[in-house]
Amino acid sequence: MTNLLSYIFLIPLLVAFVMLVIPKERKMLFKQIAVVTMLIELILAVFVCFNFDKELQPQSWSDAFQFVERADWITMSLGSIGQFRISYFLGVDGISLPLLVLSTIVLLIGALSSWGIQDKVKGYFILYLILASSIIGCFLALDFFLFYLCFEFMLLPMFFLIGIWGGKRRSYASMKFFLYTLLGSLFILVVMIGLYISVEEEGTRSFSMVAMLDGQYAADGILLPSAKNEIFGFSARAVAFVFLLIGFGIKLPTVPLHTWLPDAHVEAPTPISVVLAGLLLKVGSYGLLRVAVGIFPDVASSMSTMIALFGVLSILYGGLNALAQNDLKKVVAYSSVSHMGFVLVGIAALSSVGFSGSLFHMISHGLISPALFLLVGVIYDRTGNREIENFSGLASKMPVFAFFMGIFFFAGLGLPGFSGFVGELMILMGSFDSTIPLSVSLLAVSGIILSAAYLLWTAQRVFFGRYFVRRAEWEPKMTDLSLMEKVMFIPLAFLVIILGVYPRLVLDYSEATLTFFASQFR
Amino acid sequence: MGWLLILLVGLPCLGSVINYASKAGNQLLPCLAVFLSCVLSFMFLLDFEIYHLDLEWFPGIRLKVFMDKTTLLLISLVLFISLLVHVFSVAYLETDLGKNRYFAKLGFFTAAMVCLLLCGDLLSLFLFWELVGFSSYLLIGFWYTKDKVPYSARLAFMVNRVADACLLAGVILVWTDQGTFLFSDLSSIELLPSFLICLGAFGKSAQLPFSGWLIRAMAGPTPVSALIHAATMVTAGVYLLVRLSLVLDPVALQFLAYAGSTTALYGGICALFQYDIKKVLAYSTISQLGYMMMGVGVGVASTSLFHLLTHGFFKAGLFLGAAAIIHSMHELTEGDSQDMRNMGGLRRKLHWVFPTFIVCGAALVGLPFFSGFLSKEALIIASWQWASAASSISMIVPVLSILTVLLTAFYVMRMVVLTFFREKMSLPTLPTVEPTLFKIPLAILAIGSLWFWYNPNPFGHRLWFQDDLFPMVDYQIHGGFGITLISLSSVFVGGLFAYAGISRSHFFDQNAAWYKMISFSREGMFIDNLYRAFGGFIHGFAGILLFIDRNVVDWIVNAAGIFLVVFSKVAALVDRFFVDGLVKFLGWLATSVGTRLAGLSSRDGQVQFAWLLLGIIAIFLFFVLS
Repeated sequence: MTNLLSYIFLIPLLVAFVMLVIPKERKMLFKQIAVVTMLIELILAVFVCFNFDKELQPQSWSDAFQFVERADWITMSLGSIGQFRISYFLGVDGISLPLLVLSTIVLLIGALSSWGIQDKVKGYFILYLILASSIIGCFLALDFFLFYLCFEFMLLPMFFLIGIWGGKRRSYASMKFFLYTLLGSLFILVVMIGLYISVEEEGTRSFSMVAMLDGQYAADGILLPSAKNEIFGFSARAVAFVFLLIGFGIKLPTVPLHTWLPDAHVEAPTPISVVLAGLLLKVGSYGLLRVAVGIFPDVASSMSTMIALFGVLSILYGGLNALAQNDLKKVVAYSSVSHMGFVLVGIAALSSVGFSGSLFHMISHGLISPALFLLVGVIYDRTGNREIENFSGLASKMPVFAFFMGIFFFAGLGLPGFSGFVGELMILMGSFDSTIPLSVSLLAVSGIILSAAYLLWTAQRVFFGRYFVRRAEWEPKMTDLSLMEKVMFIPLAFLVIILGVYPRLVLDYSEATLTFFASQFR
Repeated sequence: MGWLLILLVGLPCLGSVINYASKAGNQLLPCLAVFLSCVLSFMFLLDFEIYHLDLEWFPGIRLKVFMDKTTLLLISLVLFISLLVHVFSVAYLETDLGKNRYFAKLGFFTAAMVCLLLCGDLLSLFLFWELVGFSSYLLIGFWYTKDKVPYSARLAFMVNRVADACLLAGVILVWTDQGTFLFSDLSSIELLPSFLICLGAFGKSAQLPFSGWLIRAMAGPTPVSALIHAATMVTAGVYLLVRLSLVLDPVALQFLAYAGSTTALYGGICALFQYDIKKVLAYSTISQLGYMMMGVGVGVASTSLFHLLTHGFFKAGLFLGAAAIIHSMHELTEGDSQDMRNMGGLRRKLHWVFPTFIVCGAALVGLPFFSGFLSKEALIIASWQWASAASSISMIVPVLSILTVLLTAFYVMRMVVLTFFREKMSLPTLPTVEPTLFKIPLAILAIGSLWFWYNPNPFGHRLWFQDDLFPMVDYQIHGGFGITLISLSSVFVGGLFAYAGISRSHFFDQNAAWYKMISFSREGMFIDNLYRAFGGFIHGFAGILLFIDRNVVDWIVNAAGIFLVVFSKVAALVDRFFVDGLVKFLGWLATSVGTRLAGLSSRDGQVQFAWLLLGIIAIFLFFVLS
């Protein structure tokens, strides 16, 4: 099967076009089509896994990627300057493959949880599928231009999905999300142009990420490492790296660039929160790992302590803020900030175990945080309210719900046996075994206390104690999980546990790539 | 062998899960499963071989399953006590609606604890370390709809979590130093990781300053306290340090000796004036665990294991006895069934509990011919020998431990008198029924608290199979007859004081200074306030950060947005009034001039001519003058 990645990338987009011609009254059909599409995507992604060569030990980035597809896309002759060339360039390696599979899983869960959408169903699912394509495209693209295109294009469906189907302050939240992320993208755009005019492939300037990763710079390239060019007195490469750090840091998000996230989450409908936390944040960390650290390894190693500091800041700041929230969704949103801080620390470790930990934590958080948002959604769907103090003792009324809450809360606080622990463990191992100062690593460890603090405190207030709901009219609605909700929770719980017990399910795929990646820093 | 081990671990879990799923009411299955598992462990003991198995958990990280005689002995202890607690619980929770859930949690705990003991490396030990803490959280929170219970469960988990974070940091530091987690490959550990690992062990073993969680843990069902919070889980910290005792930094070991003996005294003091029978036992557990820590610190790790073993039996016996007392108090009185002030004269009602409680209590106090005497005296003598070889300040360790003996005798005597002897008229005279399922475990544990199981010589200081139990060179504990005499006399002094003090309890209540000190000790001294202050600090800090997040960080973002809007409004105004205004002005100018001038053409010819002439003159003048 050739062009497999193209199928995975473009099928949602094609289906979105097909949806355009379906009459908007057939609401159920849209839901079914979306779910089936995502199911096909998942099957294709798993098929890629089975045919992926885990044993391949890359010697350079150019032979690290598999299932590569490359075609000229936009070619323009610019006279004496040379050729302007953008190619359609896809491929997967040990970093992007697990994220690809994660995307298809989370998008499937998101599609399932969209079952309750009643309003403007056609538009919703068309936007959802466009979103799906652009997220998947981000993880597959090996041409920086294509990557950037997908990265930017995610904003459009997201803007409308929050802005139309969101909560009370949806227009504020969607506008903030859009503008903030757009600002970040501009930083990336600058670096992209800088890289384009610095990198040379087959005699022409190129957007190829592989060429950038392998450092095929032109002799007069502005970002050529040995040239030590300066911009306003700073090293050009350092400036480029910091720009990428800001751009992807907004998406990640890292403190202090995180404030769009709680607003977006609080206003977004549940399935969009699921995708936002499960995948969009991972695009940020993926970009950081692949683009920022991958293309600028020299700057990354000199700035690793700073990155780790921002990571630790996110861990502690996000955790403490989660502790102080009253809105369940905000608790989960800030916990995402905290967890992505761990990912940042793992990346800063610049070692195989640190990278593996970061990647694993991305996957694990990509499964746990959607589940947490779905848990909040269970309460919100029934009552239209999410304030912690309005509920108490739900465990006695909704035991199955409490059971899943237990699984995902303890997975979230990193209990061994769940995937959350493995990621944190490897990240901390990487962090202690690196140039990051010991005190910073010790602070990162204290993050595991905070995650237990906010999750258990929330659990105590909402689920334990005497049964109580604030308003009498909610009383009849507090029924235990429906079949549909169980269908969403069971696979997530299964995955979270299986990855916690047998992490090699992911790590076997990434080991070769990450070992090669980390070898650049020794 | 591997399969049998899987069976050993899996049976308790499987039995309770099937029981939970099938909703069977009789709990036969979990009891049977634990029984089989227990039999299996005894079979291993009889036909012993060292077993180990390497696994690669994730790339580069090897884990190890390891079983030697020490682990096997402790596994047998865990399974045996667990079996007795299972049996006891069947009767104890007969009427509870959630009993299937209870047995599921109990089975999970048993499996996790056995796994913890089977770990041959620090990392997998940490894994199960957390899991037993988790099952403890579940069991403490068993009655989650009651007041305070969820809080207690969370506090216990959080305190443990803080210690676990220390342990995790220590374990990872060991790995970065030595590149391995395996016990068998470890060489001497540096000071910082040693210290962090000690703190981690203090958490699980409820040593100062982490001791407070064990008191809160008493919110769970009492048989659980017997298993988890006395006999097995809390000893995990001691077990870990015993395993590492040869490689820990000497300074950390010294620290252990001081911290252990201090905690022993602390637990003793706090137990003195408790009213809640479970809290007396909880503080006494803290105190006894302190002895074990001290033992590791003074270099007699295998004697600590010995005390762990004897303590497992007599403390489980005491807790199950307390459970039986509480069970019958539920029927006898409306008041607080754990409060010893409501008890009295129970010796006439509880014919099985009374003698077994006395036997186990005697073992705790350390009377000759009981198990506690052998191990505790050995520890005290060892501390004395350690101190006389070291500096004079280290004498404080044996002094504190002998003082603790006195306190132990006091609170045990007080507890026994308050519950069994003092006549209490308010209790109804009807006899209470002791279920058979109570009697059997209590009798077994009482018999297990006698000396001859451990050493045929009632004044010996060693377990008879201690040498092949733990392949390490403790220095021989010898002599120490004087120490034994001192500690025995302190037992009698303590007991006498307690007996005398009961009748004079009004003295303590009326004397304000005494009363203050007593309630201070009853509240566990400063520990609860310490936690409250720490939690308050964290929550306060979190509140401040939330304020900053909303009013500073997000404000900057919003201000940037507002600035942009205002700026663009201004730009729009500028555009409208200045840029566009100029264009409009020019248009207006042209129009108005045009309309004025347009009038010219409509007037009569003479006027037009006059204007023309004027214009020509003006142009002429302009050229002439310039």
